[in-house]
Order: sequence, then structure tokens, then C-alpha cells
Amino acid sequence: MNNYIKRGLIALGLSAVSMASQAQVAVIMGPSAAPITKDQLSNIYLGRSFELKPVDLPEGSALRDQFYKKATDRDSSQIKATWSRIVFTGKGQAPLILQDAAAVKKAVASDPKAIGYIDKAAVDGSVKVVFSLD
Amino acid sequence: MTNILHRTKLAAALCAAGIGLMAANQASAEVTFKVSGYGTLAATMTDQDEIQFRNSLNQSEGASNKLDLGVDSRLGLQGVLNFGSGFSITSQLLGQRRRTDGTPTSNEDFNVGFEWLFGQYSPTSNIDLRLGRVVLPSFMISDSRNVGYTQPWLRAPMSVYAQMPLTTLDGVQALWRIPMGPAIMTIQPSYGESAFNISSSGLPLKATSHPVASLNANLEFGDWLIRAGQVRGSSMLRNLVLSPFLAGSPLNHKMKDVFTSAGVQYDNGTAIVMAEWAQRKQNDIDPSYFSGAPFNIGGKPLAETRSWYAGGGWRFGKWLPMVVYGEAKNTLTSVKTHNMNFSVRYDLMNNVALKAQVSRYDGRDTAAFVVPDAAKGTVNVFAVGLDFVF
Repeated sequence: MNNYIKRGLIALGLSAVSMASQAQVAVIMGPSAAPITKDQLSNIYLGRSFELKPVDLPEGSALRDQFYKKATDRDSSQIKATWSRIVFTGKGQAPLILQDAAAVKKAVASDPKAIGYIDKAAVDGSVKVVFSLD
Repeated sequence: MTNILHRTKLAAALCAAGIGLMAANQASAEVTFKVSGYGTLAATMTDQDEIQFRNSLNQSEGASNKLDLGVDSRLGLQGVLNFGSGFSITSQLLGQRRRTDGTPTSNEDFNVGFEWLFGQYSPTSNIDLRLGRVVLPSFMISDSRNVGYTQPWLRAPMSVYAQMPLTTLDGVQALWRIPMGPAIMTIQPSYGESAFNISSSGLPLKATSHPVASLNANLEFGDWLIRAGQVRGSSMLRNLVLSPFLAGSPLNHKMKDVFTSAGVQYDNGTAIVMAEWAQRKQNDIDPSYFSGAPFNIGGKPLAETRSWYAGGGWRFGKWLPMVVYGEAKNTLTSVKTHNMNFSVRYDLMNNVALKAQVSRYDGRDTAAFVVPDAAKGTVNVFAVGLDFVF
């Protein structure tokens, strides 16, 4: 019996993992924002454009890695190198890191210049999807 | 040098005072201080004794056939004091092996100095105005050349990067970002003065450029980066001991110094291709022309070089092997030297990269060797290193 429960939990865990790896990433801004293009998105998150204030999820988060791969074709080490170049040339600071989707939603809902990304399933009325990465 | 540093300190202090006043008026502005750092720990050696390989013109001691930890290693620490409302102060300390002044025995294994110290005001997100000691942007990666972690290779090809030893400028600088559809153009004009201690064929020299003006333009779109720039200055190379005996050489002449360079980089996340070209012309300035401006008509050519490099790499997961070929030609003497570089980068952790590089340099290379020696033929240079940021 106990074994069945364990197996069930493992199966649930596995399906959660596989769902996470297929998550759709929604790029979000405040409710009054207009849609953006993929070029604009990669310029913001590769530190070329500072017109908007990007927020990030913690390093090592699966959604973060997925977001950068889809938005910029770069992995976490390449992103670290890109932002190190910007920081150590005095051109800007790396995006603010927030812990989870709730914190990202709160940040973009309260600042019209802020932009973030979350799992599409976590989108609600407080924010607007300005770009979708499937 | 001290004079320049004093002026920089004064400028930074004035800036800080001004920023303090502005910040005091902005009760809502949030003051933040952020410290970050970078470094490289590398061991370097060559396959020959009695010739010393170096990383930069300001090193007068290099690696021979014993492991040397001083050639490619360095440590940088950066502090950014942000007052909000667009005002900030950036300082960067850099420690590395280098010459410290014009005397022959001044090489230090770990010399710490201010690489940058500037106040910045950004009236909009697309304009930065700087005052103090700033980077002199002469190359594609000149502003992050010390940060090994940001680069694919262990050591930039000396053929191009040694042609312009001046790396910082004390003065004013502006950075203007112009969005052009999906592309972003950055224009960076600078004006001020610059000084650098170098060693040339064992001779300690002080290179100064006063005044010096520079214009740098970058165009970034998608996976492409294209840059072009020019540095113009009234330059001088001085050696306190030898100068009286070397009339007619480039020493102790006020020179019209024009450095022109261009570069292109393509990086799609998997493939990376980089190439740069540079030309430096130093012409004697007829004293009757001299009026203190860097735009004098130059006279007799004293030095002229043309150099380029091209290379490419391919990422296999965390591995990035790369091959770079570089060439430098002294167009007055027609001496041409070239180098081949094979490197591999492995991303060990999210902020640590492990690298190895084998380079083949011509023994006559005046940039790569403390005292060049044609009899050495081709010299193999081996290096392994760890790059990190924190």
C-alpha cells in the first residue's frame, strides 16, 4: 500500500517535472502596456536597451533558463557573461532578481516600466501578456 | 600621472558633492551601493628560455619556460554608488602585473590602481554623461578586456590589442543609445588626456596623449555587432635616461597620433565569429604647427602599423573551442609578424569558466615579447586559467 502511494507520488512528481519543462513562458507588463516584439525583448534582456526595467527569476530556476533559451538562444553561463560585460563596463546593472511569479506580477503591476516573465498558467488580470514564448 | 590622478579625484569629489546636493533634494530617491568583482588566475609558460612572453605592453617581465602566475592573472573590484534620479559614481580597482612609472625597475607583480573613477548623470535611459577616469574605447572589447569571464578566449590576440596601449582617459565622455527599429546604435565621444607606462624591447617608456579625443560607434542588431572608432591625440613617448641621445627617433617628439579601428562580431549562441582591424599612424608634428590641438597636420611619419585578427568558435554544450589568427605589420620597416591561437573554454559553474590556450608567436613580435629575438623563430605559449565574476 505504502509502496503504491510512493509510486503514485513519484509519478506525480515526474509529470510535474515534464510539465515544467514544457511550460509556456509569458512575458508580462502592467495592464496598460502595448505588445512588444521579440527583437525588443532580446535587446532588453541582453542589456542593449534600457528603456524598460527587466526583472528576473533566480539563477538556476528552470523557467529562467527556458526563458533565456527561447528569447535569446543563450544558456545561463552566456547570459552571466553578457551581463558581466554590461556591469563591468559601467553601462548598467543586471536585472533585479525576484523570488517567484507572485513577486514578478506585483513588480510589473506597480511600475509601468517594469517587464518580467512567468509561467503562462500563473497569468492573471493584474498584468498583461506582451509577448508569448511557446 | 599623480597630477592626472589628482585632477580625477578632484573631478570625482566635485561630482560627488553635486550629486549629494541633488540627492538631498530628492527625498524619495533611493541610495544604493553595489560591489562586484572579476578575476583571472592563470599559469603561463613558453617552450623556450631566455625569451619572455607578456600579456600587455606595460609588463616588463614575462613568462619563459617556467610556469608564471603573473602574466595573465588579475583581479578587479567595482563599486557603484547610485543616488537615484540618474546620478551615480563608479569606481573600479584593478590589480595586475605592470610597470608603475618610468624607471627600469618599476615592474610590480601585483600593482593596484584605479582603472576607473567617474561620476555619471543619465538624464534619460538613452544618455549617460561621465566625468572622471573612464575607459578609452578603442577596440570591440576594450571596455571589458580585463574581465576574462566575458570573453571566449583566455587572452585577446596581441597583434591588434597591443597597437593602442592607452586604456583609460581622464576627462569627459558621453554615451548615446539610439534605437533604430530592431537595432541599437551607440555613439560614444570622449575628450581628455591619457598616460600609460610601457616597455618596448626592454626600454621603459612613458606614453602620454594630451589632449586626446575619441569617437566610438557600435551597431547591435540580433546576433551582430559592428563597431568603428577613431582615437586622435597629441602623443609623446618619453624615456628619461635615453632621450637626449635619440634625436630623430619617435622619442620625445610631439606626435600627431591617429588610431583607426573597426570590428565585427557574430554570436548566435552556438557559433561565434570575431574580426577586428586597426591602423595606427604617428607623425612628427612640426613645432611651427603646434597649437595644442590634436588635429594638426602631421609631418614625417615616425611609426605606422596595420594589424588585424579573425577567429571563430563553436559551442558544444559547456565547451567552446576557438581558433584565432592575428597579424601585425609595421609599414615603415615592412616587418610582419603573425600569431595563431587555439583556445578552449569550459563553463564550470554559472560564474566560473576554465580555459586553456596555446598560442604560437613570432619571436620578432615586439608586442608579445619583453625583448624580441628573431633567433627564437616561433615560440609556443601555453596557458591554463580560471575566470570568475562575483
